[in-house]
Amino acid sequence: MKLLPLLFLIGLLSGCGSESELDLPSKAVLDDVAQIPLLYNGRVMPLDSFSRLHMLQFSGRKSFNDEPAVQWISRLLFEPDTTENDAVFLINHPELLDAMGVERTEEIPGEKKPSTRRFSFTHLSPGILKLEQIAQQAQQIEEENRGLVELEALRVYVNVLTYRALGQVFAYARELPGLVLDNPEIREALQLSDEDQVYTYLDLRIRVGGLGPIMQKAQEEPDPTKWTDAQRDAFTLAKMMFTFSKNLSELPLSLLPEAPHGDSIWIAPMDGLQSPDGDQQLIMAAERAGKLAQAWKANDWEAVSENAEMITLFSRARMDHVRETALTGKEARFNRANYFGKAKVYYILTFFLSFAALLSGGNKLRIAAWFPLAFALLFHTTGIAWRVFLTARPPVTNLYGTFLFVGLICLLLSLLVEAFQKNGLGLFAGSFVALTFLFVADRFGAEGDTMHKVVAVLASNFWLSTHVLAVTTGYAGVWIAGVFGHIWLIMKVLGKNKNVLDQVRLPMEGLLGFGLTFAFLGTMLGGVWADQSWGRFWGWDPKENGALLIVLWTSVIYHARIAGIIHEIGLAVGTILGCIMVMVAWLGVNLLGVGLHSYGFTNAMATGFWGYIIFELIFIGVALAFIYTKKRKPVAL
Amino acid sequence: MKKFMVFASIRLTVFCLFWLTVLTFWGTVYQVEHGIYEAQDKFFDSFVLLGFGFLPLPGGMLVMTLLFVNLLFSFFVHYQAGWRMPGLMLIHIGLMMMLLGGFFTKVTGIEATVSLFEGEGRNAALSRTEWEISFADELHSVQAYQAVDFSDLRKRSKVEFRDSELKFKVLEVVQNGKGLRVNEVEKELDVIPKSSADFVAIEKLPKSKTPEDHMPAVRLAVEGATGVEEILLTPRDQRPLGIESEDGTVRFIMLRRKRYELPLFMELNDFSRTYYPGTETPEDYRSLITVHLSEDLQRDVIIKMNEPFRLNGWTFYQQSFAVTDNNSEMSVFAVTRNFGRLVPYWATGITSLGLAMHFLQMQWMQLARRRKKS
Repeated sequence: MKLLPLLFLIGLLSGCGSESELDLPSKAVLDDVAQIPLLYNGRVMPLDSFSRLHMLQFSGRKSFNDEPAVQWISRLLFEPDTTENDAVFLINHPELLDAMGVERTEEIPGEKKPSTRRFSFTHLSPGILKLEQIAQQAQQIEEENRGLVELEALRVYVNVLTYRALGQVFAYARELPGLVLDNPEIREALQLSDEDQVYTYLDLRIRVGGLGPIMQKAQEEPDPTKWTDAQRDAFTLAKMMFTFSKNLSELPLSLLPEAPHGDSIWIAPMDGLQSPDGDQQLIMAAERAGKLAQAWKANDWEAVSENAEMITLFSRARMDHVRETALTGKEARFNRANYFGKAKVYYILTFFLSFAALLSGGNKLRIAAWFPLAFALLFHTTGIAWRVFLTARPPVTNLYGTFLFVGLICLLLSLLVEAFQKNGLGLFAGSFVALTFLFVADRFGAEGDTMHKVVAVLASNFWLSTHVLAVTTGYAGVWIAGVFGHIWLIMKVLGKNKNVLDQVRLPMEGLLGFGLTFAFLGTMLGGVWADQSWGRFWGWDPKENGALLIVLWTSVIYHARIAGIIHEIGLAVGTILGCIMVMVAWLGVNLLGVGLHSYGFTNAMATGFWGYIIFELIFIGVALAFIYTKKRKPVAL
Repeated sequence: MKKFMVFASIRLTVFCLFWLTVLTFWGTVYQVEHGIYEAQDKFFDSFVLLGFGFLPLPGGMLVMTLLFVNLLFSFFVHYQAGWRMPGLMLIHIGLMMMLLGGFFTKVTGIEATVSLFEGEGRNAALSRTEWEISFADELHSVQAYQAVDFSDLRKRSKVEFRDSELKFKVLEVVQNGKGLRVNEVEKELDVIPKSSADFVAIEKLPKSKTPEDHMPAVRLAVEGATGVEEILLTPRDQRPLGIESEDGTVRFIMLRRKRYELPLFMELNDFSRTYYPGTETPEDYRSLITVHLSEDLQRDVIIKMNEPFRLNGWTFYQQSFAVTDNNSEMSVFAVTRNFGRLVPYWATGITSLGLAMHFLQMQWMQLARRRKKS
């Protein structure tokens, strides 16, 4: 008897478990859905990448709570009602909520605190009309004159529109609200049984041929008032279906390739269903997509898998000449593997172990730090290798890619130092820089697709892999020299002796030389590329100038050192200023918005950039103040 | 000899490099407000620049010249024992080549454009920034014309053309301006100049960020059949202005973009552009042209992004395109002639090799010293 409550509890829990298993797709099912190819942003990508990009766009996060992005987007596509209370709409400026006339906070079931930054569609709904007005007004204002609220309104409005549109993509596979078909003649023509009381556009689209004879007879009678009820109903139904298909055409999910082995024109499933050429394969694929949506709603995971696989096979067969179509499964797996996230965890471990080794001087800790580092290096390198494989481009086609790459090169250079010095300094510096750059890369990754197509002038693997790799390797060299410059100054402030300081100074000088060599080579190769592409070696473009600044500045440091104008402190300060030069070349010139290399740059990034420069200047100022105060006598720079 | 030693000073090197760093940074920031070309003129192509509008400072050209002299002197003064430091020698040789190559390109290079609609052909390229006054015997003369560079015109200077009695005197030169018609002029004019577009005066306009947009204008006095009269030339004239000489012949004068004769006649057969599906991001654009090298010799060539066509020192690049209102596509080619094109290539290779050698040698020596010490 005593066991009864326990048995009850177990029963209840197991019941819960089985119910939740029924509600949620298994990992294998999600894998099948995740790899469905589609066209977005000019490239073929898996539904998984599409989902992550949209999740980021809506909420600034890669998943909804613990639910993978692909599962949430699938819910939005296949059963949108279930997403209406999910707080996914990120609103950074509460003033926008005031302007929309909705509350600044939203109670979330199961959450202790109300949400103040992310809101559900249900919460925003009463203010959407107002949002539309604000967005339309913002659209009238010139881009540079738009305030933060206007910009935010435009962003949120686009997100709401996208959310609504995505929710409509599979409307053709859902029940048509308010449609009553009670005319027995029509029901017979459509082969509807007595049980069929709920109708979807898809069901009717498949059976609509049955109305042909009724419609034909109606056409023989020019006066519609003389039509029979069945003829009238048939025409009403046909008109309703036409309006429905027209309203739901060109929705933003390019899921099906329109022509076999032809141009990359992909269309939404609803448009596939209406194929004007009567392409039966396409129509069948659109039906499959509809069945996939219905199976998802019915929690029939086996059918979900089967239909997802069939759609994937259809697209791959049609687009067998487009490399990415065959790689969607691999890209989805790459996304899921989260190599860079794992690398970060191991870098953190390495950082703390090597820091402890430096503080304690313990050799065991230093050796122990190599283990997490080996994993971090493995994940970091594997991640970059995957990106190279998937994009068929060198790893530096955008700012996101350059941060991943430069982080790795910085790490490798630090390991070289560690291999010679064996004091933990290389491990410490390398793991710190690699970790920082992975976090910065995340920031750029949040801006959109990190494997997007490159514009025509950049579409040259030869120059991308020579000029860009060389110049970013130069960035890495100068940057890591600057990191050693920071360490040197801190050690100097801490009053370390010359021997210890030299252990930092020597790699600092060597790395600066390495950086100069590659920055020079990369900059000049950029000139060669420019000469090959548009006929001038050098044009004083901001990006060219940025790279030249690094070359000139490092040369100034070297020559000033040889001339005796600066000494060790000057060298360390010079390398830190070198880091600023790298940042100016890497990111700063994008702020100018001029020249051939100007990319999009957000206000948040600009703030980060200026924040970094101010931090460095304060660091140098404080360090020098400490050094001079300590000595109380003139110190040779 | 001693007084020349200052040119071999490493402190001079530091100064030049440091000042070039400052100029590069300053010139880059300056571009935001004033455009790339004005920044280039003011900071990098000048011997002296006026900082903050009043302070004379060394310009890029002066600093680079000094740097070249410094490199040259250093090479002979400091590197007698150069074979012990081969990397350093290569670096300095490479940099000298780079500076010389840049100077040679600046002085002798040509940059122009050819714009063609499909089916159209040309044997001349138009300068993007330079203008000329053309002078011809016939209204639509393509071949037989004489030209004077607009940049050579100075106020009160005289212009003459061969086989012509017409004498011109420059009254007004405007680098960027627009022609005004009678109803647009506020003050009363003493003389109404002749113009094929009925302009009577020139309004000066501020410099544009992009000199390609500049529209120059010039007012000239000419001694012709009807005595001394004034003429006004602008690029908006559309057609040449006819001037009658005392002998009764009419000559035609016009202000137009400077022409460079090409060693070929190029004809655009087809221009195509592709975008990444569903986007406005260009994936590729290319032109199929027929190159007529002589009457009997012709061939088809494809010019596309990153794949130019080269011939006898000239290079033709796919630069951009334009679509007119009636959907006609025009392909725009950048055309350059640069006989020193390969100098920076060699200089890059030599300097990079030198840098790599030098730093490897330094590291090697450093390690050797440390081993010895330990």
